[in-house]
Amino acid sequence: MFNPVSVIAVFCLYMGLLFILALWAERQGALGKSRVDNPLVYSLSLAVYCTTWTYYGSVGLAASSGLLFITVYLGPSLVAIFWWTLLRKLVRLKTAHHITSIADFISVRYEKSEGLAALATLIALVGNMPYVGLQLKAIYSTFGLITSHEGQAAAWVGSHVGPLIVALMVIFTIIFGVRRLDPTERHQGMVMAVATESLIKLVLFLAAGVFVVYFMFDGLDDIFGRYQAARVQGAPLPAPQRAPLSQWTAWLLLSMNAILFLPRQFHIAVVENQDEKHIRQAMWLLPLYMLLINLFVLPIAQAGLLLGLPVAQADLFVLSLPLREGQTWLALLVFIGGFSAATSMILISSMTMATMITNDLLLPLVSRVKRLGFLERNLLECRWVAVAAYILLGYWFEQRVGESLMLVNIGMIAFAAVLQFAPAILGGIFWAGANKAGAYLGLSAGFALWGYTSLLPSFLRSGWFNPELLTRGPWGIAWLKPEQLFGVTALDPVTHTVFWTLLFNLGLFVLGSLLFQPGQEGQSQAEEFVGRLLSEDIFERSGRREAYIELAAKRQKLVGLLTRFFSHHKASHLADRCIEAVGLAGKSRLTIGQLAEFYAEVERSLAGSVGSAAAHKALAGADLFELREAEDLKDLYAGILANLRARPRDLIRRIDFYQERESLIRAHAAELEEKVHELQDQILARLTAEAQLRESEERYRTAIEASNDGVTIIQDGKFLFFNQKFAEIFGYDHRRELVGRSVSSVVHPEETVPVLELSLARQAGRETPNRYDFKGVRRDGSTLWVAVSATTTTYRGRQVVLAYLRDVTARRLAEEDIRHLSRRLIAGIEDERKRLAADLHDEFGQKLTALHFGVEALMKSLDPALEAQRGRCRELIGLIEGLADDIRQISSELRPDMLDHLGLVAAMEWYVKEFQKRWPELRVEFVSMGFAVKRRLDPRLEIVLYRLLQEGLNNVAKHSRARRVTVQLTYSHPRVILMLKDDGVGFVAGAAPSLATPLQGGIGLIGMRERVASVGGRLDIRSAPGKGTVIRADLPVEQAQPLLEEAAVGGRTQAGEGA
Amino acid sequence: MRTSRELFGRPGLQWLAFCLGLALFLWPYLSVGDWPSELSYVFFLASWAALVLFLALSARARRRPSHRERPEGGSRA
Repeated sequence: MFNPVSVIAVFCLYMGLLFILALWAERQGALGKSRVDNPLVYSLSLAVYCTTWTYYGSVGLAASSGLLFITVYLGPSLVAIFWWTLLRKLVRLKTAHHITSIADFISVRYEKSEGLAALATLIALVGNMPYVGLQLKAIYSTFGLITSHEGQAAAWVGSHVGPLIVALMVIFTIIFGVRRLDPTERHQGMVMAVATESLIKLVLFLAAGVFVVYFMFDGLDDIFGRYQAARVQGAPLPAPQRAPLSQWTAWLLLSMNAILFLPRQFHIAVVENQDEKHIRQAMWLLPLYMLLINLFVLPIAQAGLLLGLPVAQADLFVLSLPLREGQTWLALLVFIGGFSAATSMILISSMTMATMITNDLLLPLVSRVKRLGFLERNLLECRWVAVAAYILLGYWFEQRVGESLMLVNIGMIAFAAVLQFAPAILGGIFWAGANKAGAYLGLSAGFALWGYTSLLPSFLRSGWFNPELLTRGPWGIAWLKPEQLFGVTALDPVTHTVFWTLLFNLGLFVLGSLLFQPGQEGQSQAEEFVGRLLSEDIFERSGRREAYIELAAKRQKLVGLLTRFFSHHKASHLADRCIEAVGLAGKSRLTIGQLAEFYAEVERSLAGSVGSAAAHKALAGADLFELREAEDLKDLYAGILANLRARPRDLIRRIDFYQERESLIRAHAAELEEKVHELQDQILARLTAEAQLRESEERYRTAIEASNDGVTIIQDGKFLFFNQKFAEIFGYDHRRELVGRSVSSVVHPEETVPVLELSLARQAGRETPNRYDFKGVRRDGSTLWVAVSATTTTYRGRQVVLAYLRDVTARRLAEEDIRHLSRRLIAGIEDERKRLAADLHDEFGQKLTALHFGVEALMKSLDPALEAQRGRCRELIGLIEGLADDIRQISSELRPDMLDHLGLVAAMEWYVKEFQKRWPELRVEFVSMGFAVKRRLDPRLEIVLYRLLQEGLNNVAKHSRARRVTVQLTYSHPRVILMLKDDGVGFVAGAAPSLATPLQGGIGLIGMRERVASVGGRLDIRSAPGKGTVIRADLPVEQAQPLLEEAAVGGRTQAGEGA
Repeated sequence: MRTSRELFGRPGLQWLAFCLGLALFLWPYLSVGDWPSELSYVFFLASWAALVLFLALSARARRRPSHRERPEGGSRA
C-alpha cells in the first residue's frame, strides 16, 4: 500500500509532465508545426468519451448485467458509419459561423437566440454535474483502495482526499485550459494532453486485463471454462440480470447520441477539429479504440466473481485484483490510468462548461444589469470561477446524492440529459422547417421531464425529499410517479426517461416548428445549415460518370469556333487557358460534367470580348454536343434536380430569390466600395493635413526652442507654456519644475505685486507698457534683471499674455556702473568747480583786493601835479575792479555762493537776471511755486536744478533763436519739477542727442540727462520744428531710487507734441 | 464493375452496414441467456472488428484522387 502523500506527489508529477507536453504542443502550433493537426491525435482525443465509467463502471456493470455495458461502446461504433456526412457538416458549420460550443451551435441555428443558448447551457450544466461527481467518486474510491492511512500526515490526507482532489482538479483545469481567452476556443495543448491520456489509459487497462487473464488465469478459455464449470456445480455465483430489449435499445440510443452531443465530445469532435479529413480516420480509429478498451472487461468481471469478490464492489475489480495478488506497482499504474480517464474528462468538460457559462449565462446577464459591467473586463477570471463552481457542483452532487448510486447509474443520468439536444441539432441540420419555437418547446419539455424522471428520483433515494413521492406520486397521484409516468411500469428507469423525454421533446419540436413561422434570419439560417454539404454531395454523386469524350477533338472544335472572332494563335491560347482554368490539363478524356464546365468556361471568356449574348449565341449555335453527350448532359442535370429534391417551380423561385439577393448584395457592395473610396480620400486628406500640421509644429517648435530669448505664455498669473531658454534664464534644469507655477515664483518679492498686476491688467485688455524690466529671482535665490516684451493674444479661446524675456542683468549692472561713474564724475566736477570757485574767491579775490588798495594808496601818495601818473593809477584801479568782477563772475559761474547761502530760488533769480543782461533780446520769465520761505532742498538736488537752468538757458540762447523763454520751478511733494519752455525753432524728434548719438547737436542735453538720472529723476524733452521746445525735469525730493524704472538710457522723446 | 470508391460512397451501403451492425450487436442480446460462452464472446469481438474494418475501407475509399483535389471549404480554420 502506498503513502497518500506519495500518491498525490505521483499524480502531481504526472500532471506536470502532461503540462510540459501540452506547452510544447502549443509552442509547436504557434510556430506553424502543429502536432495536433493529425488524425491519430484527433481520434485519440475523441476517446475522452471513455472515462472512469469505462475504466471501472463497465466491469461493475458487466458483473451485474452481463453484456449490457457493451451498448455504451457499440452505439458510437455504429453511428461512426454516418460521421462522414453528419460530423463533417457540423465541422463546416462550426467554421463558417465561428461556433465555440454546443449551446452556441443551437443558438446560431435558431436565429442566434440568447435564450436557447442559455437553456442549452443550463441543460448541459445540470446534466453533466452528476458525471463530474462520478469521476471524483471514482478517484477517491480508488485512492482509498491503494493507500494506507498510517501516520498523521497520511491519515489527514486520507480523510481530506475529496477536497484535495477537487482543489487539484480546479488548478489543473485552469492551468491546462483556461490560461487565456482564445476567440476560436481551441486549445492545442489540451488536446495533446487528452490524446496522450487516452493512450495511457488504454495501455494500462490492457495491461491490467493481460495480467488478470494471462497471469492470474491461463487465458480466456480458462476463465470462461472455470466460470461455466462453477455454475454447473452450483457455486453461488451471481447470474447477470438479463436486460430487456427496451433497455438495450435505449442504452444504444443514448450512447449513439452521447458520442457527439456530450458537451466535451462536441468540443473535441467539432470545435477542436483542425481538418475535416481527419474524420475519415476517426471513423474507424475510435471504434477500434472502443473495441480494444473493452476486450478484457467481461473476463475481469468474471475473474473477480470467480475469486469470490462481491458484485457490489465490482466497480473496483480492475484495481482490487492486482492488489489481491500483491502487484502494488501494477495497481498504482492502473490507478494512474483511471486517474487519466477522470482528469481528461474533468479538464475538457470544465473548460467547455466554463466557456458556455460565461458566454451564454453571464454575458447576457451583464448586458442587462449595468452594475455588473466590470465583469466584462474580467472575463478570464469569471471563467476561473465558473470552472471552480462547476467542479464543486459535481463534488456536492457526489457527496449528497452519489453515495447511494453506482457509477453506471450516474453516467446514464448524464447521457439522458444530453439526449435532449439531439432533436434540435439533428433537426436543425437536416430539416429546413425546424425553427426557434420548436427548439424552445422541445428542449424545455425534454429537460423538464428529464429532471422529473431521472434527477429527482436520485435526490429522493438520497433522502432529500419525501420518498413517498417516488412510490405514490405527488399528492398521491399514481400516474405522476417519477419513474412510472402515466402508468408505464414495464420500463427500467433509464429507458423510462429516454422514452418520455424523447417523445415530448421530439413531438413538441416538430409541432412547434410546424405551428410557428420563423423569422427572415431563421429561414436563411435554416437553408444555410441544411444545405451546407448538399451542393458538394450532389456534385460528387452526379460527377461520377464515365470519361469517354476526347478532349483533343473538342478543343479543335472550339478553336475553330473561336477563330470567327480571333486569330488562330489567339484562339488556341484561349482554349488552352480555359482547359487549365477548369483543371483539365493533362487529361485525354472527359466526363460529360467536365465537358459542360469546359464549354461554360469558354463562353465566360468569350463574353469578355464579344458580350454575353453574342458568346452564348455563338456556343449555342455551334452544335458542340454529340447525341450521346446531349443525352448524358440531360441525365446529369436531371440527377442534380432529383438530388436537390426540389420541384422545378421551387427551384426557379429559389434561383430568383438568390439572384435578387445577389444583385442587392452587389449594389450594397458597390455602395460600400464607393464609401470606402470616399473614406480613403478623407483619410488621405487628413494624413496630408496632419503632415502639414506636424511640419508647421516642427517649424514653430524649432523657432521657439532655438530662440535665445525665453518665451512664455501666462494665463491668470500662471505659466501655461515656456521654452527651455526661459527655464535656463531662471536657473531651472528642467521645464517641468515650473509647470503650473505662478509668475510670482520667478519675480523678486519686492516687485511681485506690480508685475502680477501688470500681467493681469494686460490679460484684461487694459493699456499697459509692452516693454519693461523687472527684478527676478533664480532658483538658487540669486537675483537677476529681466527685460520683458509682452503682448496679449488668444490661446485655446482665452486671452493670454505672450512674453519674451531676456536676461539683462549684465546690462543693468553696466548701466548702474555707468550711472555710478557719471554721478561720481558729476560730483567730482561740482567739487572741482566748488574748489575752483573758492580758490578764485579766496586767493585771487583777496589778492586783487590787496592790489586795489595798494594802487589806490599809491595814487593818493602821488603829487597832484603828476596827473598822468595819477591817471595811470586810476586806469589800473579800473582794471583791477574789472578783473575782480570777472573773477566774481567766473566764480559764480562755477559755483554761486548764493546757492549755498540763500537757496535755490534766490540763486535762480539771480542767474536769470545776469542771463538777461547778457542776452537782452531774449525775454526770460522765472516763476517759482510751492517754495515757502527758506525751503531748502538737498544740496545735490539744488545744484542739479541750478545746472539744468544754466544749460537749458544756454541752449535756448545758442540754438533756439527764441524770443521768449519761461522757467517754472514747482515744489509738489514728493517731487520738484523744473520746466523750461521757449518759442524757438524747435527740432525734429529723434534728433536729440543721446549717448548713442552724442555728436548730433552737442553734449549739453546728455549732461542734463545724466544729472537728472544721477538723482533719480526723469527728463522729458518735447519739441517739433517751428513749435519750440519744452524741457521738463521731474525729480524726487527724497532722493530714493524709483521701484520701476523705464529703460531711460536714451530718454524719451515724444514726437508730435509742441511746446 | 464499380470502383471501391463508388461502392463505399453510396448511401445505401452505409445504411446496410448500419442495419447489419445493429443486427450483429443485437445477436448477443437475443442469443445469450446467461453469460456468453467463449466462442460467443470471440465471435462478438470479431463482428466488432469487422465493423471497424468496414469503416476503415470506407475511409480509404473516400480519399480524393490526387489529380483533382477539390478544396473542402472550412476544413482548415
